[in-house]
Amino acid sequence: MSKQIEAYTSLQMAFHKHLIHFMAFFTITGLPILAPGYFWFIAWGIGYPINFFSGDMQEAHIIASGMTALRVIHWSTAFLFTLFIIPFTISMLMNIRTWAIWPDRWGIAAMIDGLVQMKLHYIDQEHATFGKMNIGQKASAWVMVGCTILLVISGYALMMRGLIPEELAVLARSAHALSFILLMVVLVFHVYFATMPANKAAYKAMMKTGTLDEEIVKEHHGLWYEKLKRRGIVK
Amino acid sequence: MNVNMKCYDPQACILCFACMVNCAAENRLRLQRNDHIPMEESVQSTIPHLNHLTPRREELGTYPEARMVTAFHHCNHCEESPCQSICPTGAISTRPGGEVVIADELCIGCQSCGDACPFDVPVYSKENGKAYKCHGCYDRVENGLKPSCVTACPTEAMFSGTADEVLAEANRRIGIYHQTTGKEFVIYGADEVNSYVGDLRWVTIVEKGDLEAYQLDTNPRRLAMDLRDLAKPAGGVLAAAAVVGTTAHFMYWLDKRKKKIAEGKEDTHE
Repeated sequence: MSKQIEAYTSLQMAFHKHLIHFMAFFTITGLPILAPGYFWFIAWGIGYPINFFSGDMQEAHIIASGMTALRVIHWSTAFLFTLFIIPFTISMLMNIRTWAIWPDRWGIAAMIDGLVQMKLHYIDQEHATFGKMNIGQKASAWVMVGCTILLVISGYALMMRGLIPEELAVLARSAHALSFILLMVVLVFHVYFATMPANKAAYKAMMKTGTLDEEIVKEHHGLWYEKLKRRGIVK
Repeated sequence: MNVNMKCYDPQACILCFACMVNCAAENRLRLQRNDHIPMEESVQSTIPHLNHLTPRREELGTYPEARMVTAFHHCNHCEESPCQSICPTGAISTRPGGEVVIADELCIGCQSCGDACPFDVPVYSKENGKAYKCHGCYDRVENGLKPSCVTACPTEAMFSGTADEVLAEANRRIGIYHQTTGKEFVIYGADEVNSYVGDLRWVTIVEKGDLEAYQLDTNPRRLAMDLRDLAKPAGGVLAAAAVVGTTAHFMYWLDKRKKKIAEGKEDTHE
């Protein structure tokens, strides 16, 4: 058995796992507010048992109760998420120079080559030269980071809207919706590429072991392997 | 459908503010009627969220051409009612007569209506966490009475009726004003103001050049809300396209992989 290379720390793995739970809660509780015409049934599903006990079974009142409950869950999730994200952010910022989402090579030619390598891997199924992450993963990671920052700031602005000007609150509402929508679209790609068989080893590393086999790193993540060699982690 | 309409004519207004006082009093009477709150109690506190008609006085110009203008700030009962479209609980509805009404027992205080309203009308009450605005006295109108502000007006500067009646009277007045002053007058809100709000059920007779002075926005919209409304269907389409695209890619990828394995080529992608 060849050497195992640490791909993700236990903190990163734990954060990623729980981020899935947080996202599920945020999405389920946020969608009925964003698009009640399509997702009213979520509010209805939550409001029905509440109003069953209060005895007020009017349809409109059930939805209103459900929406109120969903907002409370949304806020509570936000509070827990904030507590959770602080240690992760501090830990990540301490190692900002070694982030895998920084470009391995800079410039337009490097970007074009990154796309060519992605085509080689995902379309032609040929050997490609990647860093720890490919250009698509890096781009989507930056979008996800940006959207998350925007969601947190706009979310808190809306929670404490009494303290900010009305115009800012309106902007925050739109920013919250727009960043969520963009995040959802990127997440579709993220989930797909993370779970497809071509990336089975990386999936296992993130969800279970945290490590990748040296041979896999050498073969599929050539640029990363070179970095590891320079750091003396592999020979 | 011939909806109900209200019209404010500043030319006939003597600024007695009886409309405002009667509106506030009527809403406190409603507290007595609907919520069984004794009158003494309902008049003890200011309850600012129940003042649906507020004057905004402003001095315009510089001496000696300076003048005071009193614009009234109120719900315009928009045809397209963006507040209603955004309300997640369906607490805001349009009555058969066109009055846009908030059902406070359904309001969850999310303040979406305030964000969507380009006239900054709904008021959020920190006291009970609900939003309030003029309801056009729909309860009075549906029982054959005039809105309380109209009832109070001693000079008929505020008048109401069906849209046909109100517009006929407004046009008659415009004719007189034009004949007397030689100036152009318009009925703000009688025609579609823009696609965001449509036409209005609370119109104002105003000199054409005075629209801004009376704070009557000729293009009321909330760009941030427009973007949000645009992003919702666009996001749905993009997410669906992403699902279709990734599914198609997976099928292609699987097919190609099978072929490669069948050809005996080394599979190095796991």
